[in-house]
Amino acid sequence: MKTKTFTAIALGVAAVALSAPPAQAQYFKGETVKLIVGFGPGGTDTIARFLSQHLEKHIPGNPKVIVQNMPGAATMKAMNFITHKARPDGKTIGFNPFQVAAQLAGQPGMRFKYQDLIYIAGLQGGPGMVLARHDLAPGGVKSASDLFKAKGLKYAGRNPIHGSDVNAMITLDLLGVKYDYVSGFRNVPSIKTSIQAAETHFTGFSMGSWFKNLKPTMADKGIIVGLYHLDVMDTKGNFSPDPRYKIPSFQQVYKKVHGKAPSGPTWDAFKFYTSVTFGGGMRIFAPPKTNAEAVRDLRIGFKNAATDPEVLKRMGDAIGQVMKYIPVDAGEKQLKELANVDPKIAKFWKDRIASFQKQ
Amino acid sequence: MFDAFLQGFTLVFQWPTIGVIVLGVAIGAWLGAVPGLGGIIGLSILIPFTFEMDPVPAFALLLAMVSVTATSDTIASVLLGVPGTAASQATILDGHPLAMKGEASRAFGAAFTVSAFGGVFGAFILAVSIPLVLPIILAFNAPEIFMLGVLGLSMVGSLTGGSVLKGLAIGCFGVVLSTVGTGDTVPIPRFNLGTDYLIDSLPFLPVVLGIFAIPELMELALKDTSISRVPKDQAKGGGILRGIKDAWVHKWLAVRCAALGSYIGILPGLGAAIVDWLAYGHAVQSAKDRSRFGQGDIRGVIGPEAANNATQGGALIPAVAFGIPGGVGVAILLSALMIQGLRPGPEMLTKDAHVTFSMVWTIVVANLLVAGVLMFWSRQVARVAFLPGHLIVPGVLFFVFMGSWLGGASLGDWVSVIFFGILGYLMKRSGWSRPPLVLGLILGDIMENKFNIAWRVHDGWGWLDRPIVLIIIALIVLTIYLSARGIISTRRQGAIEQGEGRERNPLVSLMVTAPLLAFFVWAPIESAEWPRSIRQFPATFALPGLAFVLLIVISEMRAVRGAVIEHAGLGAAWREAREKALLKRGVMFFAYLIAMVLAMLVIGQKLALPIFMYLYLRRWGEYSRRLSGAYALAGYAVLVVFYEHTLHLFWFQALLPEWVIEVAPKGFPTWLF
Repeated sequence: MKTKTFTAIALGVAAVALSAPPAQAQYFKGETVKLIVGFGPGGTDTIARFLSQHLEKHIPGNPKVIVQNMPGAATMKAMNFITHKARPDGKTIGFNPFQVAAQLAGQPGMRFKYQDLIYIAGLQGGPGMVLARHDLAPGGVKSASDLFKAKGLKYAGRNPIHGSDVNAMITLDLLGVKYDYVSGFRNVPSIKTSIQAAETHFTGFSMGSWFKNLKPTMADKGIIVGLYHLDVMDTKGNFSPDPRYKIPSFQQVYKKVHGKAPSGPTWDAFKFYTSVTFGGGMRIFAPPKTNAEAVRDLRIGFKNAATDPEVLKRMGDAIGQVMKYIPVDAGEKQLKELANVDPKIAKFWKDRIASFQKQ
Repeated sequence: MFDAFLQGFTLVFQWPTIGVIVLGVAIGAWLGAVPGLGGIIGLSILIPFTFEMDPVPAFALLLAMVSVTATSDTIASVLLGVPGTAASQATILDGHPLAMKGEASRAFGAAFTVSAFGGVFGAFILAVSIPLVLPIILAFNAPEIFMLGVLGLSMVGSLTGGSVLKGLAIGCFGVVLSTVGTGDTVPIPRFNLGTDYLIDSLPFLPVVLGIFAIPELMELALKDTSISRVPKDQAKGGGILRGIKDAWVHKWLAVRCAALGSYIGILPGLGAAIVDWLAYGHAVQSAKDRSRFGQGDIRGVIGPEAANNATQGGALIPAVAFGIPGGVGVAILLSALMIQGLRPGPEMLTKDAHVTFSMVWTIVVANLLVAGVLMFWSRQVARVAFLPGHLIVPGVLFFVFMGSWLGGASLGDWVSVIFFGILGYLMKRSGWSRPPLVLGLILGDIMENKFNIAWRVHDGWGWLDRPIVLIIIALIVLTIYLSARGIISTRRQGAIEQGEGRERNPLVSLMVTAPLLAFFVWAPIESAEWPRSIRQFPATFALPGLAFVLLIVISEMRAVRGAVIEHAGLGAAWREAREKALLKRGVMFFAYLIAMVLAMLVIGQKLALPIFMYLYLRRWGEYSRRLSGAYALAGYAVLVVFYEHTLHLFWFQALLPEWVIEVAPKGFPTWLF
């Protein structure tokens, strides 16, 4: 019996070695893969739960895939766990947003560097966007330049390392909008209520939240307007607007306001941030030194699940946006860039985030 | 609208929906009854199964399961003095004393009746007041929610039992503890003692289970008694029917508390965790004769139980209609429903109103069903109260430790549960009321968050003149006045050495006071360097905490001197205090627990817990090998079947299980260890 199993494994390995699809992959057969999400419900958790059902079909060996929440410290708790405590057998992997700002700022409590983990897959989120209350300026806010007419603007945000805030606030700074940063909101609903109650005035959100939650409940009623969305960067580093949004892109707005393309140290830092994150989205990491067979099968599973047309069709409905699969080579290239960050850019981010913390 | 109302009704009574509701009720009833489990854990188990289901049965399964946990959680609260879930913490204050008097059945009868009523009433009150929901949510901004937190804290006065100073000090302690971990505004970990365990926050479950469950279990173990101190044949007036009658007599209290519950449930952030305390406070304050509260007053059960079920409906409507969930449970529910294709938004009240009403009906049906079933069974369940305590202790300890482990899946959880167990025991034995700590812990977190937002939005104190804030301030003043009056009148009636926070033992009390004093000195020093937004709040509560503790020290030193004079010497006084608090056997009890944790580091949880159960039954209960062995085996089976294969827990990576995984051949069932 044992020899038979062994032969089966050997055959399986041989089949892979011959680069055939691993029809008899055994590594994950009968196992459970846990996706560790560093937040409570909503957002990342919803994406992970949605994907988990499809991963079961696509990871060779068809393991059970479950989501476990380990909320805390802006995913640091979950990712510290993945780095230092999770067994490197591929059965426990992290499914979280890519908190590059935390790493650049040297976040206290962060006990890992992304480049030390094993990249499994990435999911590029739709570009973030900035929205504001419609009644901030006389006659209503129609475009971002109307914000210059308003005084005492309050930006509702989470914390200075949160992707949506990083993207939104640096572009607002580039445009030259003046505002107070009200941090500490914990989730989309709390920001939403605050803005709806006119307690705060504008914020940055992800594409999923916009299309799934904010647009139907607030924008379509004329309470808020979308000002601009961030341009999408492709794997070659070129920016372009995202056709899914019906609102202008940041660079289009910038050109209209300032008459030229953005430049300077803030712009360079933002460009670097975008090039290593593609604006945001999820990254799936396995612990350092994870079993090679497991890594291979997980990468296959995520790739096939995240590019399956059936999955993509349902994704838009379930999470409000279709996320784009980031292949292993592109993802690893970003990690290398992050590891070799220009010290000037690293210092810019460190100082920027420290300046918010003094407030 | 009425069509949709009826259509929702027919949707619910279609097959398989109604069958799924029954299943959800069964699962929810069990999860609610076991301390440390609850609706949120149920959601994580059930959500994967709903992926393959149609939307209406999927919603029905999840909703039915979640909404009944607030009914069945009464069982643990009443019988064990351990909150079954966060929603029934206040129930223990009077529910458990009733069980100790042999009147558990009566408490169940009243609790299940008003729970069913609260659940149905809450669902309907919301169905009718849908147009009011959004204006209410929008009227309660950060300053208002912060002030509601202060109002909740002012309830401490009605929860302090004997000493108000001690209640205030321990409330401050709870608030400062709530700030442990990373701040919301600036992601810097606070008071985390350099550990990853506390990097986010002090998990709630180990604290609550440690501080409430362990002292009650010790009571059974050390005094070798059953939960009911009155033997079965002498217990009088404890029937279910009497409880149902009680509910009828106090029907207006139930109505008021259910309304309170459904409207508080709407407010995001406050949710179910605080509603039961507010309802309890209301029950106390609205009563003419308060002397029985804390010693088994049925009104102390009716208030919170009517409120906590009503909250479920209250939290649901804003979630589906506006995408604003009232609490964590509803937020998970919402995200599961969204995967199923639900679009939260105004259409849920117009075009898709029948789906919303099918949810309302699900809550109604589930609440009625669970009340009926539990009522039917409660005679059997109540018998547990007359079992020998030693049979109960290891089983409940098992769930307490595993429930704590669900807090953060870390050794820190077990350290916390023992630490708060020791603290809770000392507090119980020396006149420190425990609920204010939990109240501070729950409210502190929300209050700090909202205070910071209010501060930034209104540039400081600019929010103090908002109308709703002023109304809440008036309510706070009224609450404090009523509590003060209540305390004074109770005091006139003479000291009662019974109930929460009433035992006097100054020498043992010093063992709580001294570390608390050290903590309140350390906290401001530790936080001195942090940015203002994350320093302000803990410092603001540590300083009054320090002042209260200093006043307590003065009064206690006086009491100690009195005791020393009375016993002619410190040694004799200490012996007396030790005897009264059963300290010697108490130390022994904790030695067992600590030994179990140490053994766990080597052999892992799946072996350490059953071995502990076996040894406890043999040594403390003096039961036969066969019974102890069967008990321990049952525990092992629950660990493997439920915690391993259903919950997929992260176990502690102990030496033995790690070694087994290392050397075992492929296919070996390593999950046995």
